[in-house]
Amino acid sequence: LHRIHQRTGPLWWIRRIVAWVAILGVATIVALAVALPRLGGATPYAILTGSMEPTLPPGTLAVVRPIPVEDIRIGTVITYQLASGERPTVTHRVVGVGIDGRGERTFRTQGDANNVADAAPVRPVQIRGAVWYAVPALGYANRFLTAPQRDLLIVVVASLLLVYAAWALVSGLRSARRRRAESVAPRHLVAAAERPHRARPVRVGLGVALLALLGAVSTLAYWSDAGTVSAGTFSAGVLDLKLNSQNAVDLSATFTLANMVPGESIAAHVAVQNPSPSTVAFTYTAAGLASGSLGANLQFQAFLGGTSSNGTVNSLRTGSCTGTSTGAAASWASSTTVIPASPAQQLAVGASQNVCVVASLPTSAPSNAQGTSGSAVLTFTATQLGAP
Amino acid sequence: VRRALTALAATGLMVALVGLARSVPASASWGDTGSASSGTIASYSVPAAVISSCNVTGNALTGFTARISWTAVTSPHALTYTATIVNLGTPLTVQSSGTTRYVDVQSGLLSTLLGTVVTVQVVAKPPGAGLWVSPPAQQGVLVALLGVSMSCV
Repeated sequence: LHRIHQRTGPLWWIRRIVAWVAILGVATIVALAVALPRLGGATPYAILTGSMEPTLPPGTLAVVRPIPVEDIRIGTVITYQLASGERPTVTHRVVGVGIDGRGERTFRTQGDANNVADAAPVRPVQIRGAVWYAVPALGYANRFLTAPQRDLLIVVVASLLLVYAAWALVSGLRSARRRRAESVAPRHLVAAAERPHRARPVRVGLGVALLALLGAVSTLAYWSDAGTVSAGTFSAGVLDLKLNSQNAVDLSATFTLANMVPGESIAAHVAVQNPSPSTVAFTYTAAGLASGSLGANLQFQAFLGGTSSNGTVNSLRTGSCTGTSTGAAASWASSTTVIPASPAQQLAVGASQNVCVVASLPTSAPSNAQGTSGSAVLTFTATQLGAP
Repeated sequence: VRRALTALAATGLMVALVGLARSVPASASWGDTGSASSGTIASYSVPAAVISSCNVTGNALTGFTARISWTAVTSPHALTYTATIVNLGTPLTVQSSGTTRYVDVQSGLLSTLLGTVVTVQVVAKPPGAGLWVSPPAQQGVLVALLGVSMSCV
């Protein structure tokens, strides 16, 4: 009677409710995070950063499934690789659809929380799919545990499970031995004596909850293995690209030349900075655009990590840069990628990198370029370093 | 034994869950922009030579010489000059005296053009290997028939 009362009292009911809530919660998580994506041919992605807020806040589990390129329209939220074939991915909204010079469809993307579109257009080969559905906060725990902590937790929980299994095995054998010894006792009394103290649903619930914890943590471990995003990236902090400590720098004091003749050049450099208290490491790209009549005749060449110097060689004013060239001299008559997304130029918080540019008037400049003028703008676009 | 099997099954299920899970991190990245603007870059306009004088010396016996002079431009670029008898396509040697540049046109050169006005053309070029030249500066020279006189026209 005492045992029957234990199985119907308030504590028994509380245990039972907790167990079933745990079971249903875990089943829902497993269904949304694992089973449904698996059945639908989709891939869950953990949103790590806030550029898609409020649609996809950090911690959201975005389930992405493949989509035909022709079905992608303005407004579709897509997940794409920063570079084709590489693991780093970004989830942003399509804000423009175009056709490139090869007749291939390209997409302009932008984070909902960003003021500017992403610098580089997205090609179909980069696209992993469109967001099918999103589950808030499912990946949120990723914020609170470092990778070593998650690894440790997995080991601890797995060890506890194995200890539990050993204990259950030993106690089961003892019970069997006792049952044999008490085989003379009435059958219903033996059964009552062996009945576990805790209700079976409670144990099942605890077990499944334990499993869920393991499953979730293991998933996080997978994320951790894949990710190189530092903890600082997760904070809703500051991504602040500075150029010579300014948002927009006017180089007219150093990057100006009058009476330029073919064969002459001028160079200037700017420091691309990720200054403190910025909290976000970023990669950056740059695009150049020249304007004015002379702009179409000028050639520009950029160098990373160098400084500029200007002098006179054979009666011609000549500018030069040290550092590593990002490519051959080219016209900036239309917007031209000067520093491409790949190889990525990364700036950690507090870091700085010089970008030096040489503007030259080639000896092939036509005579009708005399007496003209132009200018150039180099636009830098920083993107949060958040990819694994 | 049943509980032990349950725990082991749980471990197996855990492994299956880990295997099934395919969560991949995605960066909904932030962005920022900045710009660096150049000042004005202006090109040079090569000025035409300004012929300052054309003087004829000599006589009919020894021959006439017309000296065509102009002042060289040295700033902002030191220009170089070439001179040509347009009618003949013949280059003339440009000589200098200080900042003055000049060419001498001998009447003997014009023996096939007696009685006609020949044109001497001067063109300036900035330093370097570019294609730019100035507009031509021209000076006419007339050698009378039989070479009895020469004049700047």
